Amino acid sequence: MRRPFAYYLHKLLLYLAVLAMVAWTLAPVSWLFISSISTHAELLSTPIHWVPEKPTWENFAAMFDPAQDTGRRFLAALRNSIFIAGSVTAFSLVVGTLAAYALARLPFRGRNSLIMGLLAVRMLPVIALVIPFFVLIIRLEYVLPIFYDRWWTLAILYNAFILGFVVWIMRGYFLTIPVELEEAARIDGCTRLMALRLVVLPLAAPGLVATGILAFLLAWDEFLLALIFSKTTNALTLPLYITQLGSQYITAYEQIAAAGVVAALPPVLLALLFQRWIISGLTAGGVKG
Amino acid sequence: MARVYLEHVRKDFGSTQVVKDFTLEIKNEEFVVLVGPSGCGKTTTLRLIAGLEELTAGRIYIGDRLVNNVAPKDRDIAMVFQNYALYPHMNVFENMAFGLKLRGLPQREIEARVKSAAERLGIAHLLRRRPRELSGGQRQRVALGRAIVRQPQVFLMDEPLSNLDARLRMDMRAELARLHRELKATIVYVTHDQVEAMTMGDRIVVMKDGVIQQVATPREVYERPANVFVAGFIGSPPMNFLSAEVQEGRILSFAGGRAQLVLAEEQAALLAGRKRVILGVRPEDVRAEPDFVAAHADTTLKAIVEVVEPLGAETLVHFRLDGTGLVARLGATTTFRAGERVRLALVRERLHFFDAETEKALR
Ligand SMILES: Nc1ncnc2c1ncn2[C@@H]1O[C@H](COP(=O)(O)OP(=O)(O)OP(=O)(O)O)[C@@H](O)[C@H]1O
Ligand SMILES: [Mg+2]
Repeated sequence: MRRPFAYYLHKLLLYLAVLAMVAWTLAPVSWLFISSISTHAELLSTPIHWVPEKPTWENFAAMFDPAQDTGRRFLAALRNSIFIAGSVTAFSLVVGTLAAYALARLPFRGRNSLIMGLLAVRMLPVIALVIPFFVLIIRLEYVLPIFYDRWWTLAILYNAFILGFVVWIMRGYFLTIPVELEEAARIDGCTRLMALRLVVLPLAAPGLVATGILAFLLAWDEFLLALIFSKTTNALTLPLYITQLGSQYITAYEQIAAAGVVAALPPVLLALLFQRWIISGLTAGGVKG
Repeated sequence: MARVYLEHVRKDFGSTQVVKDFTLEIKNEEFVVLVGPSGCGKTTTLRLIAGLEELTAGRIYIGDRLVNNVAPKDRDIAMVFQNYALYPHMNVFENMAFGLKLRGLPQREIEARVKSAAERLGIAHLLRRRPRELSGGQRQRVALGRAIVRQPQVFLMDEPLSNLDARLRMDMRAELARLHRELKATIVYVTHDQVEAMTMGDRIVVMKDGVIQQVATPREVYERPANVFVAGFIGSPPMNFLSAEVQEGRILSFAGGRAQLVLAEEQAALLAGRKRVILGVRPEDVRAEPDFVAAHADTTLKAIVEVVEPLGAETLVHFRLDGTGLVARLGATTTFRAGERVRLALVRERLHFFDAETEKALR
């Protein structure tokens, strides 16, 4: 069959658009990587070296060398970031999913106001919460000095906005799962919690995974609260570490780039690991229509 | 097995009453069919028995146990949902075995039960498939199978055959009837289908707007409907209703006084003292054979043929009777043609009378 010219033109434009998008996305990442394996001198040389003549791993080596100050700070930041993002993800997923289920399914008084309240809080920019949070933490610090400049304080504060986000998304996901499936399970011998575990959660797995990754990313990338609430390596996080690289006199672009590459890896690995769970159409065929 | 007793049950959703003062005793091993127009509360009633909805008022007993506060899983019931509700992430075998596993049956027993139910329902070759890989009819049979394997005290079935084609539906009707005999189960069955209601039920419960209209055997519901609604709802095509005037000397006149018939003694006695009644005539009680008409001058009417619908085994004929219509179920050999003027006779002993105000049957 002969295809009209317009068909090929359409295809061509489509591929060009895709190519442009790929380039648009990958270019900064590539430049990040190139910078990370360059020396300071080469990176700042003119004309620009698109590919470094003397590629080096020393920027990375420095970060993982506990004998150096950069290394100590980086390792502390990496540990804190993993602890924070990990605990925030775990906590917000468990608690958020249960709350979302209740808000999606259980009839109780004040449910709708709670849902609207949740949405309203989500609308609030984090910066609006910085001062109240700060006052709160400093007051608590007087009572019990385990809050200021601690990674768990950041984890708790992050939950304040990430938990609401998880509840909101998971509630929407639960609403797409036909209620009859749970009812059938409850007749078949499940309690509500068992029905949640054996029927609802398996069907909500894609939503859980996607939400989990997003929650992890939100905590991993957070900057503002980390800036306010950390002073030493106790509560230093990766985004903060990166901004503090170099010295008063030089901006260590190559180190920043190397740290950026390493900081980008955990979320990427996480996404690759779990992406096979993110499939749609899991509930197909369960109910009529 | 067990009886199910609903006592003054009521269910409101917000300010709308969906089930009103519903009292019904379903006997042990009885097959009870709930019928009624869409939205009359059939599904809600089943869900109340299942424990999926909380009662607004009243009591429900299963066996001798008051189950108002018993969780669905502890009521020993199985339900076939109107929309199947199969677990999409499990294959057919797992769907059917789910309830048995939860109840801790040994694997051997589970397999035996699932296999035998699957064979019965003709889905044994589908056990490894996921619900999304099945046709609507197959899904419906899986849903039935999941209930059957449980061997519960009470089955609740919400239009379980609605998605099958005519042939399969006939087979499954017979299969369900056999199952009911063999399992000696108490079954509460919701359907829209007249044939299912008439053939399967020990008793039929006719509902309208959440209120029971009549509870009786299929035969009695058909022969002695409690009111105009039941009479019109059960039977296809529905009963003809004619607004009639009671006159002196056993005469009943209708169609603006231009048609008259002479009542039997008891009928006249029944209607004595009334002016207006509603006369009910089943389509099969309108006869047109010349011999019959000649022999029943008391109930002979003149009518005009409007529409003739040959259905194969029989013919439905719509007549015009001075301002009102009348549908008759006649033999397949009827030769009437539209526009023809004919003489009909009603089978007098099978006429129904209803109060013109309350629409209740007079008997
Ligand atoms: N959860 C609910 N909230 C509010 N109203 C409801 C709810 N469930 C059912 N209803 C209403 O109750 C009435 C009865 O519904 P039900 O599903 O019992 O009808 P049904 O007889 O099963 O109808 P159908 O033959 O169409 O299945 C309907 O008017 C319906 O809109
Ligand atoms: Mg229904």
